[in-house]
Amino acid sequence: MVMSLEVINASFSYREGKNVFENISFKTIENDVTCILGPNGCGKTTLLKAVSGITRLKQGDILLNGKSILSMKRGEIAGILGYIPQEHATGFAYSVFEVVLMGRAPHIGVFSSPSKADVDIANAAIEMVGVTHLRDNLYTQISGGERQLVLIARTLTQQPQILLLDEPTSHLDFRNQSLVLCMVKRLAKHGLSVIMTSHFPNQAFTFSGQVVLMHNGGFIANGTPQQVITEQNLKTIYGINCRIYEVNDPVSGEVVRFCTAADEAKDCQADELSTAVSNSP
Amino acid sequence: MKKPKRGIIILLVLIPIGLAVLSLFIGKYHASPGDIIGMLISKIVPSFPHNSSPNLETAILQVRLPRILLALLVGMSLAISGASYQGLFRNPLVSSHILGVASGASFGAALGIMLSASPIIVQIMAFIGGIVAVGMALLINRFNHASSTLTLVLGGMIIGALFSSLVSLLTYTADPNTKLPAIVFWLMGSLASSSTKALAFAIPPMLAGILVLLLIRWRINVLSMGEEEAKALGVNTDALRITIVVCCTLVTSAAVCVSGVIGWIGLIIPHFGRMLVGPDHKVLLPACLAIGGAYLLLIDDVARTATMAEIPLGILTGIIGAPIFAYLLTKGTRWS
Repeated sequence: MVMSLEVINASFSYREGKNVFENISFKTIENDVTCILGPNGCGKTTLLKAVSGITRLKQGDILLNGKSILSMKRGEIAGILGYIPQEHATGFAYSVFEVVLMGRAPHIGVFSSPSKADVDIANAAIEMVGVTHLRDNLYTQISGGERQLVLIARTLTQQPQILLLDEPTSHLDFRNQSLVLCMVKRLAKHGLSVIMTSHFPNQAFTFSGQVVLMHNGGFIANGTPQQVITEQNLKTIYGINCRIYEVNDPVSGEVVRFCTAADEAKDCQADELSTAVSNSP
Repeated sequence: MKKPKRGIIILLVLIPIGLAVLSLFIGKYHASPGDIIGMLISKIVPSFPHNSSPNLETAILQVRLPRILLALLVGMSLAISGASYQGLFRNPLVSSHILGVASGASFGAALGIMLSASPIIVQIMAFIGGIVAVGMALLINRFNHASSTLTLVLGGMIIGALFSSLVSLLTYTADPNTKLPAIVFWLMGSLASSSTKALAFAIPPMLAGILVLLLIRWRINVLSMGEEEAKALGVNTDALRITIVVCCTLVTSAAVCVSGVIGWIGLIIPHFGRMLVGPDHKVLLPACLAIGGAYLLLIDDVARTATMAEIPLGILTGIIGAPIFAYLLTKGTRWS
């Protein structure tokens, strides 16, 4: 059974009068990736935290298969939703295996420790993500890309039905970005519904089935990448002129889309740049 | 990290037990090992021939044994609460006294001594003082809108500083001939006044706290990854945090009220434990019990036998501990 996640009219604010986001509604699609695309500071991370139940919505609701997460316990939510945060401070020098095993927390009683079965699940997740060689390394001493894969393994150990990833590639180089996103796409094809945030339009083009465009705390478009990522919409959310290119993949013959900033964007005024910088948090 | 070696675990079990048995045979009351063994066996098998006196029985069973058990338990309590707090606060620099428990207990004890209360009343006042101090730190945190582990630590520091000042006030006004030495000696830590009565009062809270901490020890791993991640992993962080604080306060308060203030153990032993068995709290907390118990027992053996007069524990933990741990610091590769 595939879990559906539905966000209904969600609003959130840290203090009165200034909503981080408002009136947000969307629904995940089965076996595919939903990408929340938007510039820095538009409220993506806050939205994802609210969807995962870590922060409470001010208004609206989040339904997991029709049931409100506001009425669910933390452990119950964590058994369905796996969440990988963007900011991640490492504390003690746990081994990779110990970190992955922590994913079993929602399935283990408060007064218990992981059993042999839990250890097996963690090992299987490590193998599936392809980091078996790192199993006994210290989590604090592996690279950013490896760490992201380890966190994915930990979330798989949680055995969730929906995966939430907050900018999973933000600190990664090109190769690791591709590795992580291919892994995410593969997981979606294997039956997980995935929601991830990104500020790279090309990632949405390549890896997602549904894109929601977020701008200043609200959604301005929702649909397939092709429908949503248009030159006009990109101009609206990023404030620069963009161009979208279509080419035929010489191997598969499929149409591949990507975008870059248009030439005019390079001429943009210095004061525009400084406003853009000061607008981001 | 690989699983901790079996050898280390066996040593961690054997050393405290061996040390405890050995400690029965050392002390100011002179008795031959044969007499002591004979007396002990005769307690289990009454027909066993032995030549012990009532004095020997009192010295071993009423004085030495309770003191050995207390040393073990106090060391265990301080070490396990220190390790738990370091996990909870994600900070290897905090100790079991971080939320003001030692200052609160000191104030309770000093007040009791000023009022010329009996030793057991002083002990109970110290216990209550420790709990009140942590309660106040929690209360401050509760009224903070953006309450977090950081504000909890700050609250603890504020309360700790307040009670330290109050202790200074009492010390300043105490009668220098009678009360002052008693207060100062109490503050430096000692197990000299341990008795079966002290043991009976302190054991229940210590064991209860230690037991609960051991039960939730794996969850402390998850909590140490940060509050949001722990929540995302399904942990009820508020409930777990308060459970840890309550347990640590119970065990530390009970420890401090029988022993006075003993630094070092709640700070250094967890590091030593991580060096031996790694940071996984599932193994670390039991390891800290063993190391903390054995370490304080060793220190207390020195305290009661090295010189004619008792040496306060607070002095020895530092003087003996500093060279040992300084050496380990230069050798350790996985020093947290």
